[in-house]
Amino acid sequence: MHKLMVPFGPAHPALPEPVYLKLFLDGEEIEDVDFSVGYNHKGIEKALEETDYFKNVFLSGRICGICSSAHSTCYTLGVEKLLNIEIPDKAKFIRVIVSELERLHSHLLWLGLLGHEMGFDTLFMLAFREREYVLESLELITGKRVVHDINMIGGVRRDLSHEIMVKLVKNLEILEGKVEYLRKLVRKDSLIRRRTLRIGKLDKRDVEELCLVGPVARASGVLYDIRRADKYLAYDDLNFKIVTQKKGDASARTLVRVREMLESLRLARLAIAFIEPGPIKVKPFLIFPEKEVISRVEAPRGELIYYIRSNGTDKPARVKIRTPTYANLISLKKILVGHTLADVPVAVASLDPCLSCTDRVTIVKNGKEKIIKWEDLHDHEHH
Amino acid sequence: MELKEELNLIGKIYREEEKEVWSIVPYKKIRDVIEDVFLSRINRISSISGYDNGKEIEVIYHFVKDNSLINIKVLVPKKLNKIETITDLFPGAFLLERELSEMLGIKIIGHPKPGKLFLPENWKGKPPLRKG
Repeated sequence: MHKLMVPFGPAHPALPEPVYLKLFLDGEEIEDVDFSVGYNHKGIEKALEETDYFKNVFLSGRICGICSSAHSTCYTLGVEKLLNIEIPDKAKFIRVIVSELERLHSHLLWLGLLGHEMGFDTLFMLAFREREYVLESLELITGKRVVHDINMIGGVRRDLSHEIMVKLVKNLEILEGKVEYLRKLVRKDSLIRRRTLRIGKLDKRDVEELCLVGPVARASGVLYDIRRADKYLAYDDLNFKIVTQKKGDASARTLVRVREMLESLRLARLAIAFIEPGPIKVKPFLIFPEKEVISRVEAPRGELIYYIRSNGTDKPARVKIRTPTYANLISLKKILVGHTLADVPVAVASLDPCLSCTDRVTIVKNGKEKIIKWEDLHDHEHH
Repeated sequence: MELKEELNLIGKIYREEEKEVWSIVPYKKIRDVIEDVFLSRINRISSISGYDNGKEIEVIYHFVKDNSLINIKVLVPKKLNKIETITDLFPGAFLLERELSEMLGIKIIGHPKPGKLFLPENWKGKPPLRKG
C-alpha cells in the first residue's frame, strides 16, 4: 500500500521547540510515528563533571529556561544529601515558594501556547498577561524574572523581607481570580473543548506501561506526585493535594494543569504564612565523601531525577539527569496514531514537551561538525 | 518473599536508607532478576545511569516502587562491553538504553531500535562519557 511520509519539524511553525517527527500517513490519518531529538545539544552533563559543586548550582539552573529552579533545587538537594546537611526551615519555604511560582509561570506559558496551536490567540494573550504577575513576583523574590538562581548549597541566596511578602500576597490574590477565570474558560469554551476532547488519549494502563510522569500521568488517573512521594522541602507541612483527572485526553491534561495552578497558588500563600524569622542558610562542611546519591523533585512537567556520583574531589564524577519530557516523549506514537494531521500540534502540545531539558547531554558541535572541547569553549567565552 | 530478601539472595544490598535501596547484582543474572523479581512488583523504571569507573562500566537501574526507589547496579566488564535490553519488559527504557549505549559505548543486545539518539549519525569519536 502506498504510504506518505510527512516530515514535521525540527523547525516548524507549530512547534515551539525542535523535535523532528516523521509521520507516516494513509490519506489524512496517521499510521505510524518516528521521532528524533538532539537539535539542542548543550553538553551540560559533561560540563557538570568538569566544574566544581558550587558553580554547578548555576550550571544546572541553566539546563532549562522554564524549569530553571526545579533543576537547581534537585541538584542542591542531591549535594545536600551527599554532605548530609539539613537546611533551615525558612530556606525550605522560600524554595517552595519559588518552585510553585515557577510551576505557575510554566503552566501559564503552556496554556498560552496551547491556545496558539489551536488558533485561539486570545487565550495566548490572556495567559501571557497573567503570567506577568508571576514573573513580577519571582523578580521580587529572586531579583530575576526567568533564570532565578535562588538556590545555593546549604540554603537560599536571598532573604524574603516583610515588604516583599506583602506585595507577594497581593499579587497571588489577584492571580487567584485570574486563574479561576481561565479554569472556567477551559471547562466551558466550545473551541477549546472541540479541539482537545478525545485527542491523544492515554489510559491508565498505557501510562503505567510506558512509565510516563507528571501532569500527563495524573490526567490519566495515576495518583503520583514526587511532592507527596518524597515529601521533600516543606511539602509535608503544607498538606499538599494531588490533582488528577480520569479521561487521559488533551482536555484532561489541560484541566490538570489549570487545577494544579490553583493548588500551587494555595501552596505558595500557605508557605508565605508559615515563614518565621530565622537563618536562610547553613555553612556546609566542605569535604565531599565518596558516595552516590539520588534526588527527585516534581518539576512543572513531572518527575525530575538526578544521580550524583562523588569520587572525593571537589568535582562530581558523574551527574546523570533524567528530565520529565525525556520520559514522556515515548508516548508520542500512542498519542498521534489514529488522528489526522491537523490534530498533531494540539496533541504534541498537550504533552508540554520541553526539549531544551531533553537535549542536555554531551558535546557541543558547530555547523562544520567540529567538536569543541570544554576548555576551548571556556577560552571562547573570554574572547 | 519480600523483595529485599530476594535481592539479598541473588545479589547484595549494600546500602539502605529511608525510601532508598541500593543493591548490586551479578552481571549474568541481571535480566533474570528484572524479569522474575521486578516485573510484577515495580511501578515503573525511572532512569538508567552509567558510569565509567576505569575497570568496568557501572550500569545503575533506578526503579520506582510506590514511594521508594530501588537501585540495581551491574558491573559490565569493559572486555565484554554489552548488556541485554530490558525495553521489552519496560517500554519506558527505550530512550534510556539508547542514551546509555551511545554515551558509554555499551552494546544493548536485542534493543528494538538501536542507533544514535543525541549524537549525530556520523559520530566517529569515542563515546563521550568514557573516561581516559
